[in-house]
Amino acid sequence: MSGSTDIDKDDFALAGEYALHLLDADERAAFDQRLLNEPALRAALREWDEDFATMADEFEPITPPEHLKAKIELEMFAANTPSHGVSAHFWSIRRFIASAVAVAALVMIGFYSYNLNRFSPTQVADMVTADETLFIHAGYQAGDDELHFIRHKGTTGEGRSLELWLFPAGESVAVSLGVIPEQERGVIPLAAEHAAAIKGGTLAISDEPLGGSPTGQATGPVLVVTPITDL
Amino acid sequence: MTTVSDIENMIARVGIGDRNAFSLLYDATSAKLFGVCLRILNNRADAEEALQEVFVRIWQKSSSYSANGYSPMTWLITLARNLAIDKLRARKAPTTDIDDVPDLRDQGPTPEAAAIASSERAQIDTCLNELDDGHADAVRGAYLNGDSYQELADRFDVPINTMRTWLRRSLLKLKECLSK
Repeated sequence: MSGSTDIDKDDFALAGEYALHLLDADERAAFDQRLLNEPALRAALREWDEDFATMADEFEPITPPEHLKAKIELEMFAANTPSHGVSAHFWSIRRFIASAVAVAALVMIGFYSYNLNRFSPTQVADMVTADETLFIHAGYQAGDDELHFIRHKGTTGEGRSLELWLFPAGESVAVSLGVIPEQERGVIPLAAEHAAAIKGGTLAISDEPLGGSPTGQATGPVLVVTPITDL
Repeated sequence: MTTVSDIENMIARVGIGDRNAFSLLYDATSAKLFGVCLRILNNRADAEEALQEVFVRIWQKSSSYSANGYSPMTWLITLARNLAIDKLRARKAPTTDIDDVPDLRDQGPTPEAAAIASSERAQIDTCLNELDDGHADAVRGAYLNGDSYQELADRFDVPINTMRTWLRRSLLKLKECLSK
């Protein structure tokens, strides 16, 4: 109860209306502004929120659909802008791995020029899972309608498929690029709008039922999320 | 069994960017928060979209949680409820798909949580019952269904200003009773 006793009745009622979400948009915005500078008002609001929350047992828990969790994680964790210290740490590990595999990338470029003659990637992504059990390299050449991949390490679980996802630059919603074929190296065909979105985009891999996600959104765990870099 | 302090720990860890904790927090609380969204929005697709935004918001705001003094479930439920009502207000025409109400029900609160909840619940019920006729229903409707002043005024068949005067008076009376 501390802190809220020194506000007047009108404000106390106003805080209650705000807690119930009864204020119109303008009043609500004005109250939000006041909350920033008035600790007593924040305390009053907290009291109301706690009081009203005792009615929350009437909100019956209902299990959300299974695919939603993977979708949320996929969409959140693909963002390139870490907002937490640990995420920054995570990205620095990413960068370390990226430099470690830069050598591999050079080898790869050699491979491309040897094996595919005219393929010379302009964008690459080295997708390494945190536990380093899976390492898939993806390369793309501007103007192409396919994505080259090399599976350096890792296999897909029995009856499972690895699905590749693309977040176009600045987008938080991923589009499926399809299932990554089981072979060691190959190509994944790209629709024109996906090919155009490779530059500046981010790739992710999720573990899906055989044949890929049945819903069009990631349903299984997201194994790795890697920004695509320009060569 | 997940306790209140488990939830508190998870939020703290999510606050420093722990994705594993985020996953555990989702598992522990998503059913309750989905229930909140579904009750308010009464539409499955909208509720799924709201839940997604709720967890993005949790990820972003959890680092400031420990400073705000809220109990963990109140903080989460308040966040979900406010976001769902924002969506409800933004929705042009209300859509209701009763057939869509899912049948997957989760287990209730832990016995410990239920015991605390029921004594607090009894208190607010007692105090709501002391309000003038119908006013308790108005407060419950606003909290549990996200009813607006306009909807309440229509239901009570009074002008919106009268409804507001009544409700503000009831809130002060409720507060006085709860503080006893």
